[in-house]
Amino acid sequence: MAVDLTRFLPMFFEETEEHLANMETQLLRLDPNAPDAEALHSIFRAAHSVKGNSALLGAARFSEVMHRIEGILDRIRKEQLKPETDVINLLLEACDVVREQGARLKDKGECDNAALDALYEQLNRFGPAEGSLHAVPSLPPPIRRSERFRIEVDLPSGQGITGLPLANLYAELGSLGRLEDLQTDGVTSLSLILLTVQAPDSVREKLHTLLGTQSVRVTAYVPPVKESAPLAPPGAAPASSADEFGLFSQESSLTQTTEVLGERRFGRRSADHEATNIMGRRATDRVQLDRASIRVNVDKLDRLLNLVGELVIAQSMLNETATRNRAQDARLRDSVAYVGRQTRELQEAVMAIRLLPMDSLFSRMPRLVRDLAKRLGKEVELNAQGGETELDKEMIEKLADPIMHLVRNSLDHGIEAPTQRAAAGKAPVGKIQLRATHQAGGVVIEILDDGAGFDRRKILAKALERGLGAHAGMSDEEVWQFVFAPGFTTADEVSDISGRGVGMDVVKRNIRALGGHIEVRSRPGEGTHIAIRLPLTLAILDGMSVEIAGETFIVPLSLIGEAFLPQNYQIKTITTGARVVQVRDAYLPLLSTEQLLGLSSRPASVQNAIAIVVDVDGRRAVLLVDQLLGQQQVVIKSLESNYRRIPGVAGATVLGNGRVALILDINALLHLEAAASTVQVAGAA
Amino acid sequence: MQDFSLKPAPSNAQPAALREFLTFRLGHEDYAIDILTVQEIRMFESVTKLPTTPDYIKGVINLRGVIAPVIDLRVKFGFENADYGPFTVLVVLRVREKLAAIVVDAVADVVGLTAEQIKPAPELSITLNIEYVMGLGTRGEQMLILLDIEKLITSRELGIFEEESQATH
Repeated sequence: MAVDLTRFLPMFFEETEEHLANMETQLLRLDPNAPDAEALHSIFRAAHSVKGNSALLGAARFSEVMHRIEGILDRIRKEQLKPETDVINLLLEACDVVREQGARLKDKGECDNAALDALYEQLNRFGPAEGSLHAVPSLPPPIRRSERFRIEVDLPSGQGITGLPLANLYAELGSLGRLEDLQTDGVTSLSLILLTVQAPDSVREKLHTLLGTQSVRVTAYVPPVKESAPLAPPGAAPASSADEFGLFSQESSLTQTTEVLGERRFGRRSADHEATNIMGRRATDRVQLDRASIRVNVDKLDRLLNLVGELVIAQSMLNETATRNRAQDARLRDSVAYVGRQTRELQEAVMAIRLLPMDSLFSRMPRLVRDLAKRLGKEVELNAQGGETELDKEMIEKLADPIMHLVRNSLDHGIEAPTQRAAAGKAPVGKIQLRATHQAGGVVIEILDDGAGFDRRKILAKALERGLGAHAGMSDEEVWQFVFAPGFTTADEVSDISGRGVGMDVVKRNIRALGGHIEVRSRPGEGTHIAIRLPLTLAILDGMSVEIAGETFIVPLSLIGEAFLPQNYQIKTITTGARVVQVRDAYLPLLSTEQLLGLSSRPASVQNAIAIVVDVDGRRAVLLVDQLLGQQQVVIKSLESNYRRIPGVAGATVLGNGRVALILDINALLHLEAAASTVQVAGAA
Repeated sequence: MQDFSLKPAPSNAQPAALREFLTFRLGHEDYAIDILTVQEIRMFESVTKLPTTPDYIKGVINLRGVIAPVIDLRVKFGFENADYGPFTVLVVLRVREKLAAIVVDAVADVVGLTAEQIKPAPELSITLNIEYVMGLGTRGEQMLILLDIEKLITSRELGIFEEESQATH
C-alpha cells in the first residue's frame, strides 16, 4: 500500500515555485480600490494548488498556511477586506516564507516550523478563524449529520480524464470530507461518492468554482447496502485502515484526513490509474498555465542542440566534399545546397527553444523595487520595456543577480529621497526603467534612472584614496570605470542594501563571463544609464578563425578592433623583454601568443604576420597571427567536460572538416602576458 | 567467444568467473584493460594540440561533437618509440562518465581471464607505478599487464580531470 510519495517532491517544489511566482506577480498588480476579479481568482487558484499539493504530500503546515491565505483572498474576493498595502505586504511575505521553508524542506528535508507557525498567526490577523484547517468548518455546525453525495462530472470532450484538474479536485474533496468511491470510464464521465458534513450547496459551490457550473451535478446518494458499510471501490484493498478515515467519529483533524486520503488515492489505485492520474495532473497544470507550452528537461534540449551541431558539421563536410569533387551532377549539388539550408534552419529553430523572454527576469524586479523603496523611504516607478525580447535561458539565469544588483544600486544610490527630488525641481516619484532590445545580432539590456547620477568628485576622491591611479584630468568615462574596481564604494555607511563595495566588480565579471560588456553613462542630477550588451546565446560565437604556428584558433569577433600588416619599425622591445607595437599614436602590448600557448619558443616573427588589435573593456593589445582564415559562427563546446581547464583557452569548437579548434580567451591571455612580463622583470632584477 | 558472458559472473562462482579484457600493445609489452571501460576503437586521427599541457597529452579530438583528450601512454610510460604507424589506434574510454582516448600501438584481442589466471604483480620490472596495475594475466606463453585504467585515467598524476574541489570557479 505504501507508495513512496517522495518521488513527487521535485515536481512539487517546481510547481510550488511557479505558483508562488505567479501569486507574487498578480499580487503586485492588484489595485487596492478595484481588485481585478480575474487576477484574484488566479492568485486564489495558485494558492489553492500549493495547498492541495502540500496536503497531498503530507506537508501539513504548508497547507495550513496556504489555507489561511486562501481565506484572506476569499475575503478580498467577497469585498469584506480591502487589499490595502499591509494586506498585500503580508501576503507577499507569506510567499517568501513558504518559498524559503519549501527550499529548506527540499535541501534539508525539514523546515522551520516556528517560522510557519508565526506566519500562520500573522495571517490570522486578517480574517476570522472560520474555515481553519484545525477546526471542523464552522459553517455547518459540527453536529450536522454526515451525508453522502453522488458527484457526477462530465469530462471535457476530447481530453477525457486528463482534462480535469485532478490534484485540485482531490484536495478539494479531501477538505470537504471523505471520498468513498470513484468510478470513471476515463472518457466521458466521472462519478464520485463523497461523505461529508457540508451542506449540499457548499459542496456544489466549491466544485463549481473548480470545475465550472456546466459539468458538475451533485445529488444526494443513498447507498444500496447498509449505511455503515463503506462502498468497496473496484479493486480496493481490504479496508484494514478504514478506521483511520472515520473523520467524524474520531478526533482526527481534517488535515490528517487529507493526507491519508492523498496516500489512499495513490495506494488503492492500480499503477495504470496512477499513471493516468499523474499525467492528468501534468496536463491540467499545463492547461492552467499555458495551453501551448510543455516542460522539458534542459539536458534533453542540450542533447538536441549537440546533435544539431553535429549535423551542421556533417553537412559542411558533405558540402566540402561535393565542392571539391566539382560535382558534375546538378541534382547532387542542389540536394547538398538544400540539406545545407534545412540544416541551418533546424539549427536556428533548436537554438530558439532555449530562448526565453526577458519578462521572466523583469517580472522579478517590481517586487524588489517595491520592498526596497519602502525600506528606503523613496518613491519609485518601475517601468519595463521589451520584456518579450528573447535571450538564452542560461544567460537569463546568470543575469538575474547582476541586474538585480544594478537596480538595487539605482534605487539606493541613484534615486533621491522625495524631498531632495522636490528641492532639485524633479518629480517626487523617481523613475527606473528597464529596457531590453535586439541590437546588431545581440541583446542590449538597459537600466536607466532619473536619479542624482554618479558623483564624479566623490568617486575620484575615493579612487585617489585607494591608489587606483586616478587623476583630475580623467574623462567621465574613465572615472566611471572605477566603480567596477573590486571593493569600491562611495557609500559613507554600509547598509545591508548596498555600500559594502561587493557588487559592481562582480557584476562586471559575471557579464563578461557571459561574453557581454557593460557601459555606463551618467550625468549629475539627471541620472544614470547602464547598458549591458550580450550575445544572443552562449552556445554560438561569432569568431575569426586564425592560424598560429600551424594550428587553427578562434578569436571572438567582438573583441577584434582591427587587423593590419605590421612593419618592423612598429615593434619595439622594452628593457623588460616585453614587446610593444606602435599603432598610430599608441603603444600596445604585444601578446606573445605562441609562447603563452606553448606552441613555439621563438618570439613570433613579424615577417608575414598579421597583427590583430584586440580590445577587452578598453584594454588593448596586439596579437600576431600567421593567417586570417575567415569569419564564421562557431558552436562553443566545453573542453572541461572531458578535460581540465586550460589557461588562455575559453573553449573549443569543431570546424567544418571535423577537426577541433580552440577558442582563445583573450582576457586570460592579457593576464598571462602581464604575469609573464612581471616574472621577467623580477628575473632581470 | 560467444560463451563468454558480458556481465561479470557472481563472485561465489570463482572457477567460472571470467572477466573480459581488451589487450593491446604498448612498445613491446602487452597490456589489457577491462572491456567495460572501452567505448570504441578508432583509427588514429590528427589531434588538435592543447597549449601548456604535459607531453603525453597529445591534444583533443572530436568524438561526434564531444571534445575528448588523447593520451599517449607510451610517452607517459617513457617508451622510446612513440611513433604513429598503420596499426596505431585510439581506444576511447568512458571512465566515470568522462571520455578520453589512449593511443596504443595495436589492439590485439578480447580475452576472458579467470581469477586463477590473474596473478598479483611483483613490485618491480614494470615501467609504471604499481598502483595502476591490477595484476598480471597469463594466456599461454603470453603475459598481460592488467591496467587499472580507471584509476590511471583519473589519477592526479595524469592530471586529466580537474579535481572535484576545483570544480567551482
